[in-house]
Amino acid sequence: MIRGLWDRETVALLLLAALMPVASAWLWFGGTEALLRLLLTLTVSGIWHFVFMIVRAQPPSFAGAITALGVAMFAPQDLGLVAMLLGISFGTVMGELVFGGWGRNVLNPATVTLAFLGFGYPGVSWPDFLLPIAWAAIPTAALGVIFGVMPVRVILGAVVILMPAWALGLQSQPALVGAGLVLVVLVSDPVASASTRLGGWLNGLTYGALVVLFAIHWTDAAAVQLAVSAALLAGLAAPLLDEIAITLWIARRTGRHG
Amino acid sequence: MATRTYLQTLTDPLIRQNPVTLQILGLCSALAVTTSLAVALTMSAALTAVLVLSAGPISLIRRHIPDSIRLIVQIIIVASMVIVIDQILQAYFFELSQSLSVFVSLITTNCLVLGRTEGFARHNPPFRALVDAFGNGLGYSLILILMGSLREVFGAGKLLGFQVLPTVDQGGWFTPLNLMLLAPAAFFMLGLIVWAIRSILPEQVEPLDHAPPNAERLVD
Amino acid sequence: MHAFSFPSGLDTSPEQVALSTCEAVRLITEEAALTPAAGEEIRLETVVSEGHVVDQGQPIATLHGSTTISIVAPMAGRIASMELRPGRRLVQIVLFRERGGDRHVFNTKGAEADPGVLRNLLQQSGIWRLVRSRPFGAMPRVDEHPAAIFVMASDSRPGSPDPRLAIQGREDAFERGLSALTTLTDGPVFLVASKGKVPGDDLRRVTRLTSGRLHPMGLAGLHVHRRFPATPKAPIWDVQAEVVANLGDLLATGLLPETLLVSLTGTALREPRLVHCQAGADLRGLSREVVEPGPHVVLSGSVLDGASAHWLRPRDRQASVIRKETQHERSHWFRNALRTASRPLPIIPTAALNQSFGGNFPAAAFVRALAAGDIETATKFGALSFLEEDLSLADFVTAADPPLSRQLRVLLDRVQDEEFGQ
Repeated sequence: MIRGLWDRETVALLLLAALMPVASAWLWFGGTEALLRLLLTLTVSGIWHFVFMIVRAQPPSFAGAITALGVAMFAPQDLGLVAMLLGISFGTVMGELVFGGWGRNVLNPATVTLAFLGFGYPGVSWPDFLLPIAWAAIPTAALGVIFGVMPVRVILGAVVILMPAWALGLQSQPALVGAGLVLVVLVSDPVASASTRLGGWLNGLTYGALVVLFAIHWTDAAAVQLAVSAALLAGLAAPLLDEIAITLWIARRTGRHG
Repeated sequence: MATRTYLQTLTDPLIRQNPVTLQILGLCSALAVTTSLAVALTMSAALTAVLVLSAGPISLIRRHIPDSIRLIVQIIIVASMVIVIDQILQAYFFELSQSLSVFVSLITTNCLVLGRTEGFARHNPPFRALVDAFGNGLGYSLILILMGSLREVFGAGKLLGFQVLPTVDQGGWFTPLNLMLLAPAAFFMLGLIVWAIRSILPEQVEPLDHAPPNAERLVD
Repeated sequence: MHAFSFPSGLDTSPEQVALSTCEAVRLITEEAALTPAAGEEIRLETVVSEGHVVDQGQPIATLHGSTTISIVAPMAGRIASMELRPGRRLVQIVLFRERGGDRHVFNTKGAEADPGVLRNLLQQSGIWRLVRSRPFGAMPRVDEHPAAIFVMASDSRPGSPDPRLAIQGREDAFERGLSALTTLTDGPVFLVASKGKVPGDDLRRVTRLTSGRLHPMGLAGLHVHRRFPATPKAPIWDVQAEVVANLGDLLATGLLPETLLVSLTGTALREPRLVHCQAGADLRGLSREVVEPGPHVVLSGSVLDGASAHWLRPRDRQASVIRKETQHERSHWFRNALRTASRPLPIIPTAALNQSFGGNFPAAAFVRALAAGDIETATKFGALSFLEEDLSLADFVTAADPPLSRQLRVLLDRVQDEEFGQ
C-alpha cells in the first residue's frame, strides 16, 4: 500500500550524487573547457531524451546526465563538433533509447559512444587525468556502494586485479588512473554490469584482466582508450557472465531439491 | 499465392516481403560486400543473375526431381550458375572480382538463393518462378545498394569512387568515419533500416516469445 | 562466494520494539464478518440464513463442491447479512454479537490417532481454510496431501505481532497441534522461528529452521523456496503457529479458541496496540480508541502487503492505520500518456532489490522473467514457491509498476490454468 522511493529516477539521482566527487574534481582541473564539453554533451543527450519522450512516450531520465558526464570526461579531445554530435547521438540512441530507455539497455550508452568515437576516428588523442581526479574515484565508489546503486562485487573484482598488477609493474600509473576512473564512471553501472553475485565478481575480474592484458600488449594505446575498450568488452560479456552464474545457481538448486 | 498477379510477385519482395529485412536472409554477404557502392552493385548483379538463372531450370524440371535428392540437384544447378558468373567476373572485371573475393563463390550457400528455389521455384511454373527470382534479386539489391552508398559516403566521403564530401586530408571539412567501413556498422545500419521499415509497416513485427502480464489487468 | 554475505533484508525492529512494550488487551468487537482472503474466490452453500443465531465456531456455510469443508462463525451472534455474488461467491457474511452465546463443540474423538479423522476435523472446524497451499496460495484441495508443512512461528513484516507471543502459555496445545499435523504428511514438518527455544522443536519429524531478524526472512515463502520448493505435484502447506496452537486446543477440548492475537500499528495511531480479538473483527472498532483525528485508511495486513478493508481478513494478524494522503497530483493528458506507456517500468538492479529477496537470489533476472511473462524461466527460479506477500517488499523498494506481486499472480494463474485447465 505504501510505495518506496527506489524507483528508476531515485537510483539515477543517487548515482549522480555518488559521481559528484569525480565530476567536481574533473571540472576543477579541467576549467572552462571541461565545462563547455559537459554542457554540449548534456544538451545533446537531453535533446534525444526529449525526442524519444515526444515520439515514443518514453519518460526521460536523469541517467542521461550520467551518460553526458561519462562522454564529456573520456571522449577524445581533438574531435570536431560534428564527430562529437554524431558520437553522442549514436551512443544515446543506439545504446540506450532504442531499447526503451534507461533500465532496459544492455550496454552503457557512454561506453557505446566512446567505442564509436574510438573505432570511427582512429588516431585521435585521448585525455589524460591528473592524480587528484583519480583519488576522487575512491569516495565515488564508496558512496555508490553505500547507496547500494553501484555493484560492489564488480568494483572489488576489478580492484583485486588492477592493484596487484600495478604493484607488480604490469601496468603504468596513468593506466591505473584511467582504469580506475573508467571503472567508477562507466563499468560500475547497475544496469549494464552483471546483476548476479557470481556474475558481478566475474564481470569485475574480466574488466581488470582485460585492462592489464591491453596495458601489456597494446603498447601504442592511451590509458583511457584501453580502459574504455576493456569496459566495452566486459560490458558485452556481462549478460553471458550472468547467464553462467544463473545456470550454476539453478544447477545447485536442482541438485539440492531434485 | 496463386491469386497474386505477376506484378505483385515482382514488387512484393522489394519492401513488403524483402528477403533481407523481413526474412533476414543473405546477411553474410549484405554485411561483407557493402563497404563501397561499386562492390555492392556487382554483388547485387551477380546474385540476381544466379537467382534468375537457377530458378528457370529448377522450375522446368520441378516435376522430375525426386524429393530425397532435391537439395543436391538444386545445389548443383545453383553452383554451376555461380561458376559461370564467377568466371565472367574474373574475365572482364578482374579488380572487382578480387575485392569480392570469396563472396561470389559463396552465393551457392546463400540462404536467399536456396530459399527461393526450395520455397518457390519448386512449386511454380517457370515464368512465375523467374519473375519471383528477379523480384527477390531486386529486393536484395535495393538493400545492398542503400547500405553500400551510405557506408561509402560516410566512411570515405566518396560515391562510386568519386569524392562527394571533401575530407580534412584534402583540405575539406569532412572527417571520414572509419567505423562505417567495419562490419559492425553494417549491422547497425541494417538494424536501423529494419526498424524504419517496421515502424512504417507494423505487420512485419514478429510476435513476442512470451506473453507479458496483461497490462489492463494490472492497472488499479 | 559465501565469504561476502551481507545481511539481507529490511530492518523492521523499531515497530517490533514498540509493540513489545504493549500489553495485549481482550477486545471483542460488536460486529465481525467472514470475508474472502486476499485474492481468494470461494463459492459457498450456506447452511444458516439471515437472522439466525449461531454459536461461536458453528459451521455457517460449506464449500460448493466439497461440502466437507466448512467456514465457521467467529463469535456467538446473529447473522446480520449474507452478501454473495452470482455463482454464490462470498463477498461478506456479517454477524452481530450476541452476549452470552454458546460455543460449538466439535467431536474430536480419534482425530489424533487417525489422519483421516483429523482431516475431517480440520475441514469442519474451518482450520483447513487457514492453511495455505503453495503453489497458488489457496486453501488446500479437499484431498490434497502436502509434501511438507511449514509452521511459521516467525513473522518479519513491519508491525506484525510476534507469533511466539500468541502461543505463550499454550505450549502444550501447540505441541499437541504440531504432532497432530505431522500425521498429515509423509514429508518433513519445518518449524520456523527466530533464534531461541520454541515449544515442539524437539518433536520427532519436526525440523527446526532459524529465521533471520530482517524482513522478508520471517516469511514462509523464502523458507519454502530454499528448503522445499513447491510444485503443482508436490504442494507445500504453511500454517501459522497460532493456528497450530488452536488446533491443539480444539483437539484437547473440542472448542475453538475465541480470539486471535492481532497488532494495530501505523502512522495514524497515537500508539501501537496489541489485542486479542475474534476472527474477522471490525477493524474500525479495534482502532477507535487509539486513532488520531484526521483522514486515515485502515488496512488489513501490513503496510507492505495489506489492503484497505473493513474487516480483518482470514490469515491476517495485523492491521495498519495510516494517514491518508489528501494531495492529488494534477492530472494532465501528457503525464498520463507517459505513465501508461512503456509498462512495466524498468527496474534497476540495485543492492536494495537483491536484499528484498533475502540475499543469494538472481533477483534482477527473476524480475525480468516475470515482466516478460516467461513462465519457464520464472519457474526455474522457484516462482511457484512464492506468493504475493513474498514480493511485497520488492514492490516497496523498487516502486514497481505494475507491482511485481501482481505480475507474479498473473503468472501463477497461468500456470494453474495450464495445470488444471480451468
